[in-house]
Amino acid sequence: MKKIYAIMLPFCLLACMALPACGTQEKPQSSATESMPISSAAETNSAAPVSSQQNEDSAAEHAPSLAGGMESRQVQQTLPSGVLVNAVAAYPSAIDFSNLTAYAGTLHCFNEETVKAVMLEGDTVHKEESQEIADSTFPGALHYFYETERGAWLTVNGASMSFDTRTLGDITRYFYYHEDSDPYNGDVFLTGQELSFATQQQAYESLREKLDSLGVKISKRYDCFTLEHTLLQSEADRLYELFELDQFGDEKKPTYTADQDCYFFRFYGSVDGAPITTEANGISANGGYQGGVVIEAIYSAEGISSLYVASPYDVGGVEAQGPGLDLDAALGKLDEKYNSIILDGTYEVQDISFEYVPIADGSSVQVSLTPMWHFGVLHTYEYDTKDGSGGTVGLPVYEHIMLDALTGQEILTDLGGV
Amino acid sequence: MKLKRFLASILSVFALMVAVALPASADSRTETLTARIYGGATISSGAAKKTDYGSFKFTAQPSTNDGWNMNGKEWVYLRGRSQSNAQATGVTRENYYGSPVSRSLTYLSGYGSQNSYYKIAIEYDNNNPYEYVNLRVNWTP
Repeated sequence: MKKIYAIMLPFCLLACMALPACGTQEKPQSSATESMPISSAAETNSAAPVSSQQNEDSAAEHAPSLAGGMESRQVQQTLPSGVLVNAVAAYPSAIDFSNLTAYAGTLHCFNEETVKAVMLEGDTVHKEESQEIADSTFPGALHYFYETERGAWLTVNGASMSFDTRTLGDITRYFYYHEDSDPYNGDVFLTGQELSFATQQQAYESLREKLDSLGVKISKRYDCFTLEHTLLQSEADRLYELFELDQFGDEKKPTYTADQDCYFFRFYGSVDGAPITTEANGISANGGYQGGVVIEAIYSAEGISSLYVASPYDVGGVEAQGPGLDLDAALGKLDEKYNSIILDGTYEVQDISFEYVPIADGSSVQVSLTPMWHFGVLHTYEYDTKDGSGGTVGLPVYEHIMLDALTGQEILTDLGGV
Repeated sequence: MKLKRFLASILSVFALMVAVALPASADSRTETLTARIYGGATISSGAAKKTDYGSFKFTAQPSTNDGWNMNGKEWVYLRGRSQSNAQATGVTRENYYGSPVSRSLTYLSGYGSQNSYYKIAIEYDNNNPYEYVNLRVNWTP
């Protein structure tokens, strides 16, 4: 028996040595960690901080990349309320603001067999799991997980699906494309650069066809970021140093190679050619919380490397129709809003877009797809510094203001608790 | 019989090594998050994909000099959220004494499956003697 232990010891030592090479190490749980009763209602927060760099960005740098069917207009003015507008406004070129329409919408439910057939063509499933979904909007819907022989993962989860070939690794780790994120480097990758294996247009068409097969309609507006390895490397090196990640857990500095070059697409759901917002809205406590539509994909030399779709809607009949707000009228309503409150700090409108927003009527499966103007506002609060010196510090927070384009009313979002 | 047991032991050690060594790095994300007094929750813009087994891990530290007071009197709540912003993990209340705060949170029932995306949310404790925190948070679902 002792001999066995003697033989086993080197293996055990080897196993122990392998441990630090794994992902983030689990640290001891604090005694302060506690579990609190969890509300079944989902909550949202549209406010998120932005970097000081974003504070200095020009409107042009925040310009959305527009495909066919969209127009843009530069707006630079100070509203009578004191709110600065420095943005590029994006809206469908064919839109008639004198006759806007709200539609009924139904949350799209993915059928796991259909998604499997569309996404895993030619690959064999070797592992399959299913479990109940927490707080599912679809009664009885299950969470399905498939792993294929080639190593791809596919999950189908009622109103969302996620596919990943897992060949590119954590390619988006240092890519920050949300306009309200800190840091933000989406503009760095909006180069328009075409990669050797496919043009952006070819990749877009391939993805659009795939989404069409899944029953997901996308707007003509999309953002295509070229994740070219030297650019990615430069951003990864910069952010690794900035975040001091060498002292932050066990994160290793990545090395990107040419075979990881890819396009990252951000698509939008479509109503009458206009995009559906990716932002959530509603008051969670009232049960009317509604997530935005998120459609993102990575296209590389192998084709579709990943595809994620959450909360797409099927557009139904007309719910309301009438004269709506054009951009100038919407800016007037925005000014009214800020005129009716005591301003707290400074406000700068950095992004403007005409979108549709899913508003729930009690059940989150049936929604009203309402036309709206979406303003991304950098709100800089002023607070006392913590050192007791009497100084102040500016605290920038990127806020999403949504105005119903038919009524001019603000579509409220409850930030809720953590 | 002894040889069989011995071979089984060897195999189990190898299985352990392979299981531990294969997920060379789990997907994670780092963002700077600000929370204000009476400001409710701030949720990360981005989400990280769950590629590993186990709990939701995070490390938080101040992102600016006065981002999180190191006197331990400034408390912050943190929790994992799903991609659609639903609460996905238990919550923890943390303070800071000068060293990065690393914790693991347990997933709520129905969350924590692989290939799903998770964000992180923070909220300022309104009883704090100050008004805001600026945190740099790294999380690995």
